[in-house]
Parts: sequence; structure tokens; C-alpha cells
Amino acid sequence: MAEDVKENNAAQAATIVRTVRKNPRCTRSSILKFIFLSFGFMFLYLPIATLIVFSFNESKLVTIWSGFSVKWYFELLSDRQMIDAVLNSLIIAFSSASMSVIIGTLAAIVLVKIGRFKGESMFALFITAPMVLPDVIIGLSMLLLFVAMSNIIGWPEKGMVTIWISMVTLTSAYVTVVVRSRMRELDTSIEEAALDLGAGPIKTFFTIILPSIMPAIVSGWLLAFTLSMDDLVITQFVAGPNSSTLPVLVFSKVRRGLNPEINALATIIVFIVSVCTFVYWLSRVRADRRRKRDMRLALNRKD
Amino acid sequence: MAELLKDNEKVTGSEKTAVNKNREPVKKVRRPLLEIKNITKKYGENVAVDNVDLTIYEGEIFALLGSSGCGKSTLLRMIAGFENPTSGSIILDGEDIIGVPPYKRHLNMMFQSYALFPHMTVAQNIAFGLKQEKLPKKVIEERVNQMLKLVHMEEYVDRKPHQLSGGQRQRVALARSLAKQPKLLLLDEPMGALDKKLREQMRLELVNIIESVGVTCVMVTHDQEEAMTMAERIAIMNRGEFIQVGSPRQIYENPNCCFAAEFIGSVNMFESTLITSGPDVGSVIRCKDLEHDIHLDIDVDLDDGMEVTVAIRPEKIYLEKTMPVDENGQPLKDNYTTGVVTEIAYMGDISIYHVKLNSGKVVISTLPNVDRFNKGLPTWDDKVFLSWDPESCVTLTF
Repeated sequence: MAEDVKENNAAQAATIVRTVRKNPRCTRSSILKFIFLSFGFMFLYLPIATLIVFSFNESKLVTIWSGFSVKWYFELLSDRQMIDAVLNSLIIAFSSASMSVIIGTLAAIVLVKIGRFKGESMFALFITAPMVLPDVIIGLSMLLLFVAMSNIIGWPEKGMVTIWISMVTLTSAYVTVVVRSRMRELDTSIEEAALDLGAGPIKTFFTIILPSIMPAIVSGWLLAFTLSMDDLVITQFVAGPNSSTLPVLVFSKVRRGLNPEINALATIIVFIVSVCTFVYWLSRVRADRRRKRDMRLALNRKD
Repeated sequence: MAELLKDNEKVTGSEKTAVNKNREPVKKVRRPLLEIKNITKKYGENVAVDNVDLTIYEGEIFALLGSSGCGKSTLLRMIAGFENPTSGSIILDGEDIIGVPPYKRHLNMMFQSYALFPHMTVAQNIAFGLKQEKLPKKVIEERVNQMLKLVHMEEYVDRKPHQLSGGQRQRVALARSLAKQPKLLLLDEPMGALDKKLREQMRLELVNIIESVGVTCVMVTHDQEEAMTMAERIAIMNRGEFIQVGSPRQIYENPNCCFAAEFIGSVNMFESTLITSGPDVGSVIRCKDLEHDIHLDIDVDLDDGMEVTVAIRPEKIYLEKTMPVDENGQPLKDNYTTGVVTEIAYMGDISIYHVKLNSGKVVISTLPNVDRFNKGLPTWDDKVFLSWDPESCVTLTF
């Protein structure tokens, strides 16, 4: 939507600039541009802004403003149930992201490095199937499996472990896709060079291939972390009585009636996410600048 | 190790006189280092390398030359150990290396894309191979410095590959592949990733470094100029087979077939018939495109009446406006023909003439421009005489 607006805008700007060559700051196009941009940003961020504002609301009702206060933040800190849910979510997100990175990387190695084998395309299809399957189906099938298993072998009980297993199933599909595409791009001659210089296959993997695919593994991990932090549908199916994650808790609270505590929590999350994004952006800008300088350095030197 | 290197330097010192820049075939008897016997590589039904035999001697620089898909890279990769031959054997320094994995072969390869490890510095790249040998830290450091000095990259020790230019990357790649002091160095399209100007400059520098170390070298290239300037011996490959193996001069002056003659440099080919040949009379060859016979002083030792192809290099065809004469001042009876100049391409140092014969065949002849401007040589639409020395003709049968 925002892109559409921008594109429209750019096309208009181009036609107008071609006809009217006046001061570029005050043309009709620049005013239009500003208006469209404001609409775009409002569309995207107004809900979040409202949420932040209302987190400082004094009233118990979420939608009615009665005065500034930070009491809901203190309320949040003393809400044991809420803190536990956040911790549960973090534990599950962290452990399932770590596990799915291992499984996903192994799957990517099998798909890229080991030559064709019987059932390869079947394997590729099945490893990525959870990406396209509806969450409801994954959740239901997981639930049925766990119930059947606990009937037969008495394990697992519904709780953190079952959520963790389900999340790994879902997220390792994403990690596989990310790592596999990076691995496909990898220059095979780098690997051959390492072999040629006397490093065995295992040494080559750990010293050459792993560092080269590290960026993909890190972004796969982050993706898996976000996905499992965020998941509601599958977790609803497999969660036990004492293992509510944050999304599950929030959703159940919504049904029982919301209080501004949720707003306070959301504001904190938005704040943390923005800080992380900003730091990441800053590091990218720095790296980019450094890369450009390096390239200049290399080009200026004659051989 | 340092002593070993010094020894190497001594050897190259004496060799330098033998391996002069003209790269005449070296008469000195050398020890064979790499023997390839009946190597065949098939991919399903496709034969990439077809029953090839090759011996490479210690200290020589050998080039496998061919167009893409001729099997030269496959052959190199089999020597390096990245491909297994379907049949045959490869013997390196007396040891059969078929089935030995690449990381246990005493040879190193410089890759076409250089394949430098992107997350390591120049020094770490060079040290990588030495670390695999579990050498003491001090020895590794010493050797890395030695290598950096060899390729004149001392200032760039701590740079990462992406901070280097193409030529610098190549030097690092060379240093890395020489660091382990391999018995054999393999170069895969060494100049493939460089632009033209840098290529010409790096050719001689690469040869100088390789010769100063004294390592035996097998390179793969599709660039004939590169092969001729760098290698002592060349093998021309086509469709998985060797067409001709010899020094650059041998291949240029005495190609053994039409493919070899056309592959290296440009050439005029005349399809003709052998009239007579014998030890006393020499050989008389008749071509329907030429007005007069080709008369050779030597006996080509073929059956009379046989179809042959005569190859003459463009620079060996004389172009004159007057009737050519022999050394006694008598007009030539044969080995000449007439034609009309249709095109002249000015190349700076030389001009390339296209001369149309009466039969319609176009013959290419090159003349140095020094002559062209000093003597007022033929120009467009001039009727010219084309002549050649009998020894300039190469008679080919296939």
C-alpha cells in the first residue's frame, strides 16, 4: 500500500517536474509527495502510536482517556502471570530457534552438498512443507500425535516440551530455506581450495563453510526466534496448563476483557524492537561505509 | 625448509640459462615428475577426456590449451583429485595418486576465481595450508613472510580479500598455493579474472615467480597468447584428445594437422593435390586456387595423387607489385600467384592485407608498417604478386 502510494507519487512527480521547472521545494508535486507520505506513515504507525499513548492512560478502560499515569507499568511488573508468560515465550523462542538452526543447517547441507540421492526432491518438499501448511493443521496434527504418544509411551506431557517440539518443526523449515539459498551461492572453489591446501572435509566445514554461511545461520536464527515468539495458533493446541506463552495469555485476556497493562507491555516490546532495529541499521550503515572505503583503497592502489 | 628453498634457488639459477625466454626445447635430460597414462573420464555417455597420455618433467611449465569444453579443466581437476578418472593412472613422483583425496596430494592449485577465503586476512589465507601440516607457529610465520616477499605483498598482510584489487588477489592466491612448497603447481585459467592490460603484465611476472621458486607447473588456458608466452610446452586439446604436444615454436611452425594450424595464430589453407614427390625432385603440389604449382625442396614422403592441405602463415607470404624474382634475379617459375587487394586493416605495428585470387579465394598476408610506408607498398585494388619460400609451406594430410 505504502509502496503503491510512493510509486504513484513518483510517476506524478516525474510528469510535473518535466513541465514545471521551478523551485523544486514548493512545486505541487512536492506538496503532494508530502501528503501521500504522511498518509502512508499514518496508515502504518497510527495504531502503534495510539497504543503507546494509551499505555500511559490512568483509566482502567482501554479506550477512554482519563489522565496521564505510569501505574500500569508498575502493575505489569507485579503481575506474576504476565512475567511468567514472557519468560516462557523467551525460553521457547530461544531454545527452538537454536534447535531449528542445527536441524535446518544439516538439512541444507544434505540438500546442497550431498549429490543427488533417491527421494531428494521428496525430502526437499517435506522439509519445507510446514511453511505452506496452515497453522491450524500443524497444531491439530501435533496435538493428535502428542496425545497418541502419551497414551502409548507416556511421554510427552503437554507443556513446554510439546510447544518446543512444535516450534522446531515449524521454524526449521524457514531456517532450511534461508541457509540453503546462501549455501547455493557459495563458491564451491573455496571449499575445493581448502581441500587442496590439506584440510580434510570436516575441518573444511568448520573453518571455511561454516564462517561463510554464518550470516544466513544468524538470520535464520532470528527468523525462527521471531516466529516462535509470535506463534499463537499452534501453541494454543499443544500448550499445557502451566505453559502459557505471551501470545496465548494476551489472547485469553482479550476474551476476558482487556486492561491497559497489555498496552504497557506492548510499549516496552515496541521500544526494545525499535532500539534493536536502530542499532542494526546503524551497524549496517557503518559497515557499508567501511566497505566503500575499502573498495576505494583497493582501486586506488596500482598493482 | 629455508635450506630447501635456497637449494631450489640454486637449481633455478642454472636452469635459467637453459630456459631462456625464447623457450627452445630444452635439451637437458629431465626427470619425469607427473605421468598420466591412458586417462579416460566419462560422464555417462559423454567422454570428457579420451585416453590421454602425458609426461611432465621436473621444472617445466606446461600448458593445456583448448577451447571451452575440450576436457582440459577436467584433466586438471583429475590431477588435483576433485574428479576421479573412469580409467587410467596418474603417477606423481613415482606414486600412483588415483583414489588419494585432494587433501593428501602433494600438489596445490591456483583457482580461476582465486578462491581466497573471504573471512581471512592475506596472512591467514597464506598460512592456512601450513597450519594443516601442524608446523610450529614460528615456522609458519617465517614462511608466510617469505611468500609475501616473493609476491611483493608485504604491505597487505592484514587486508581481507575484498580489500584487494584483482592483480593483488592473484598474487595472494599464488603465494597461498606456493606456501606448502608443492611438487606440482596447477593453474586454472590464471589470468581469467583479470582485464587485458593487467593480464599481459602479470603473465611474465607469474612466470618469473614460478621460475624463481623452480616449481613444476601445469596450467589450463583457452588463451593461445597466454600459453605461448608462459609455457615451455603446450598441448592442444580438442574433444578430450591431445591434438599436438610441443614447444610453442614447434606448434606454430610445424603444426601436425589442420586443427593445430588453425588453432594457433592465423593461417592460409590451400586444398591441393600432390603431383609428384621424391628425394631428388622435391615435391610438386597443385592447388586449383593458385595459378602456379607449389614446389617444395623436400620430399614429403606421401603417395602421388594424394589430397593434401598446404598451410602458409600470413607473415610468410610476400606481397609485391612487381614480378617476384629468385636470388639470382630470375623471375620465379612457381611458388607464386596473383590477386587483387580488397581490404587493408591497419593494426598499428602491421597491416593485414586481404588479397582476392582469380579463383575467388581470399588470401591473408601481413606486412610490417615500417615497410608499407617507406617503400610505397600495394594499396586498395592494386594487382599484386603473392609469393612464398618453399620452406614456409607446411603440408598437412588431415
